[in-house]
Amino acid sequence: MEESIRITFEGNGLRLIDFPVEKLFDLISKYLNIVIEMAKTDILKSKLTIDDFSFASLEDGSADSQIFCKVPGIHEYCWKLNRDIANGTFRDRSEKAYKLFNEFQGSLELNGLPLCANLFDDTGEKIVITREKTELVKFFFLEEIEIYGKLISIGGKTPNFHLVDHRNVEYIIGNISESTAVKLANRLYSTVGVIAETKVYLPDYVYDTHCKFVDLLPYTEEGWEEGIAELQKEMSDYLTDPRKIDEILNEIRGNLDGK
Amino acid sequence: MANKKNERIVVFDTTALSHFLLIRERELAEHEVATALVNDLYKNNFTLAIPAPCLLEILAAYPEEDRRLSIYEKLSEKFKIYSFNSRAAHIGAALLGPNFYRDFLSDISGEKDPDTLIRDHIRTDLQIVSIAISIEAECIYSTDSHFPLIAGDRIKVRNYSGFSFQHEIDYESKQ
Repeated sequence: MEESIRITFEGNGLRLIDFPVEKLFDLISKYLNIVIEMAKTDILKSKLTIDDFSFASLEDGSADSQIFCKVPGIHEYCWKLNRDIANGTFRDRSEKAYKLFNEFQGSLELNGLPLCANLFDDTGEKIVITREKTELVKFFFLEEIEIYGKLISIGGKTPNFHLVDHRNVEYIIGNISESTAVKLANRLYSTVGVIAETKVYLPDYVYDTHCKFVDLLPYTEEGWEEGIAELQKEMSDYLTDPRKIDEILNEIRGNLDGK
Repeated sequence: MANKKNERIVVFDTTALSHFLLIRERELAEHEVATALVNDLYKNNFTLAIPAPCLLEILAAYPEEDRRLSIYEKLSEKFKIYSFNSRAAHIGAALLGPNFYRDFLSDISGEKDPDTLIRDHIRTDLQIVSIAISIEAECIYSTDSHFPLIAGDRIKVRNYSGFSFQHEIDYESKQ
């Protein structure tokens, strides 16, 4: 099985559909320069160049990249290096690599807004790198979030499923029963909504894309127009208050504070 | 509606959503504008998200529990509903900028000491804007004058009332 190095980018309030491929290539190249520099001094003793790496489907709006390398063992090496980056231990081994890391970190912005780079170590743990922090942060807490996305695959011995949301972020959601898997399999390639538990990494509140399934939401795009017509009729029939919507809302907002 | 490609999300505030969902004689003109807008958005692969504070305001207009539940069931089938979570809270706090909350309220309302109703209104608007930013929505549709002031340059706010949406909306896809 071909292995790859994964690196993803996120940012609050950023429209990832506008993430230009040139920026993505620049960031990945800066990261690979660290790998190349470290490989010179480290156990690999390999003369790597940027040409030893290739990318899967780099395009505008793609913020989740798979990097391939033909040099044997480089993937495992990168995962371990990422762990060292998280722990800050690589700095003592190469001053130049540390400078390259600072360069990479300084480039983590798009249109003036901060970006996060997510690296992954040998255990699959995410390592979040932010622009502002020179000390790398791995603090997180668990939170339940709503995810709505296109169901692109489902299955496995321990079943999980993959949802791609409107930002083109792919979530892998595990901890589902076989009966839920069967139910979801009937909705393959349609948009579904779920509540999932995920890690939220500080300080930029970045969600881990590996989540635990909590519940299926009733959202469906089937028969949208008919459903809306029924909803409109019910809401209009049930609303007995004759005032205009703005007036009703003012009343509701006032009442929320016990006025 | 199934299998949309290059889907994008927009947020409607409570008034815009109510104009679309309620068909009443006295607000028929607003309903028609909102309906035309929704139809056009769907044609262009946009879907509508409801921030949880808007959901609260809509449901609060129905004091009878069985009716409220029935409406909630149908709303949750047809709209993507997003809660006010820690990421949205973080964004909301950042929107305040260097100001204290009371200064923020004064700036947005234009009043030195805004009354409780205005404070509640702005607090709800702040939550709606924060959720819209946190889900990376394309824009918020609202006729509320507070929204652009709260959102700043973090997200577009579009006033849909009485507009010719064909000219107002920038639909060109970059995908």
